[in-house]
Amino acid sequence: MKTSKQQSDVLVIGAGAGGMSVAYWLALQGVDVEVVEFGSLPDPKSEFLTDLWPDSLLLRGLDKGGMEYYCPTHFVEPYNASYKIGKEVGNSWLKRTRVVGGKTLYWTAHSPRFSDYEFKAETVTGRGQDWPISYKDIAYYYTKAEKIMGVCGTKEGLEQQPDGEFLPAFELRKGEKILQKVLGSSGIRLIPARKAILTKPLGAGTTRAICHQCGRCYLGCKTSAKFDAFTGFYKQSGGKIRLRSNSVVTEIVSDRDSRKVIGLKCLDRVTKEESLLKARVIVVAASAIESARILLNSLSLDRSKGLANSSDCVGRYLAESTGVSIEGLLPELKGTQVDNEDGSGEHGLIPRFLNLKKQQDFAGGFLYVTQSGAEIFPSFAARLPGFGEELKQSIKAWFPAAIRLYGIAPIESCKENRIMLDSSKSDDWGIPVVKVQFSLSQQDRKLWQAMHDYGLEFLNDANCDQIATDTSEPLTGGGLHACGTCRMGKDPKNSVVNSFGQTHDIRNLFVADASVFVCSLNQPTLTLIALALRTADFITEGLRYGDF
Amino acid sequence: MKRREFIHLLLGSLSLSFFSSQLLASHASGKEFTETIAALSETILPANNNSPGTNGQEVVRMIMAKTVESQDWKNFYQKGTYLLNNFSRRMFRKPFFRLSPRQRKKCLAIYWRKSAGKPQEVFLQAIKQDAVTELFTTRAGLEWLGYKGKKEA
Repeated sequence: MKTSKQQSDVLVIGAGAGGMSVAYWLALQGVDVEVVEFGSLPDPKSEFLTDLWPDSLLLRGLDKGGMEYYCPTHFVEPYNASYKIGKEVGNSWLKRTRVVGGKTLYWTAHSPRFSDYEFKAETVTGRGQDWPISYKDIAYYYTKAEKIMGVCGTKEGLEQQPDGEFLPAFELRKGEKILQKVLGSSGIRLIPARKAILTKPLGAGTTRAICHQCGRCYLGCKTSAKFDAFTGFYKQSGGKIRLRSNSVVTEIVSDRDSRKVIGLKCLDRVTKEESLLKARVIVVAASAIESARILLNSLSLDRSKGLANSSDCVGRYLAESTGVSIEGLLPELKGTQVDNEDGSGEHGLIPRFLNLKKQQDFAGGFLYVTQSGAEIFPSFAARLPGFGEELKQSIKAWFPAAIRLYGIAPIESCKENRIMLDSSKSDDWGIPVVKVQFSLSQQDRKLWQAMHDYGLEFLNDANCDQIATDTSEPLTGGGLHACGTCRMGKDPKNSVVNSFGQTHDIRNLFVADASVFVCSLNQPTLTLIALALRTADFITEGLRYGDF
Repeated sequence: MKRREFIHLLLGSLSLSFFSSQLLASHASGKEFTETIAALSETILPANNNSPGTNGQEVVRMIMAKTVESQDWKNFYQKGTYLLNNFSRRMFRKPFFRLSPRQRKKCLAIYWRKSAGKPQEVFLQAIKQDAVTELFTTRAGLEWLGYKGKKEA
């Protein structure tokens, strides 16, 4: 094993949204930071398939849930040897990225703030669980994150979806405006979406362009108008972040006497040569599943399996979000002019409206993002009746009239939902594979059903034709919003980290990704970046005062 | 809906008789199968002088790619084409792909009506989805719809 002679101030595991946020903010403050990442550097110009027309693909990009469209080397393939998933869980959990920039290369960029309806759910609504922080604690970091990322939106004064520091918003499309009017009559708001996409220049020193509305951001943004952690943090740092890509972290090494972590073992992904990297502080930010996996595979201070796991909470409280897509056709727009309505997609947002002042018999609230108009594929077309020339003309007439609501609901935190290591089986790098144990609660199903039913009602109220949903059952995993496996809390007996992401057990070990969430959030990225920036400030202070 | 979920839903909705061994033994030949799929998809979304239609051979190619991953899919499409051709033979004494465009339209209209609520309808709907996917993911199909997106940087 090669031992690095250099000791970094901070080693960060994972180059996604959380890891790169911490690294960027530390590097800007002069901290020596190295990021260790399983994947390699992306090459947006050659690897993003955004410009490709679907007919150049055998199954037109509609196969494998659209996976053909993504750069295959960035994703962990379904049934990858690293994971063991029961049928009841579904392989959506496996759509994980392994690339510098992580899932932010492919996210839809929705970046709403959350409020004390989430952070203090139990106190405010009488249901759910309180986080150890309130909105007030994170508001400053939300602003900081928005300024770095460039989030567009409008100030609306909604208590449940606080306003931020916004760039000009994308204009709602025709269909969204119609729905906005319909919903407005019953007091439901449809507002411009809050998205980390540049609608005006961010300022000097950025290589990111303004959005030119090419469409399909989720396939990767070649101009980086859409924020991603690779361009927005790594490249933006101007070389201040040291990066060790293609490196597989196998375990974190701790010292029993000093009760600290001292470094980590990693393998070269290709040659499998082992190295020991040393640091004063280690930050784990490898995603909710991988962060817990690394901790569970590392020895604790008493040399049993499971670092920072005296609470037995590492890997537990795994949560995600459920989703439903509801489509319809707006009669007012049938046969109207077709505009370029691809753009950044989903320009509208219907913020949470349930369980605010009046409580239902289930906790939490969902939101919808909206999409309307002529997209690249008329997904409604096969639902129209008939065939032949009449069908063709009907598809053409309805093309500008499509509207879709995509509802996203959080999942209740539950101790039994968890990931574990299967010591009987290892992956290609000798790390035990992950087993996922997960099921939805009655509460989750009730919340999903309400989201499903309200969505249908909204499109009915708008007199939509051909209303259809993509599922009649709640599905999980598709949102790639896994969280909760190293939850934060005040009590070390039932949480892994404190409100700064510092593990209760070891003071120089931190977690800085969605693992630390107490409950799942409909759209988690802005919040996890804000929390990671907060963690970075805490580490900087600690380094300054010799705490580590 | 994901493809795998769709297959399960689709197959779950088919009756056992649709997969009977008798039918399995007598399903359409390879050529008959591909020509029927092409003719059927081109009848569902036909070309004319002013607008593009589905390229039946492309639909066949897509279906072939799908059937690689599932024998169930293969059986499903083969039985569907077999039953359609049987119906066409009873009505016009010719398999569906040998009919004139006018005859195909007439045959399909009646067959679709008679298939309501049966596995045959699921098959027709699947081909319709394939035809839509084929035509409206091509530049020609999208341009005909008036699509103005996908601007390059």
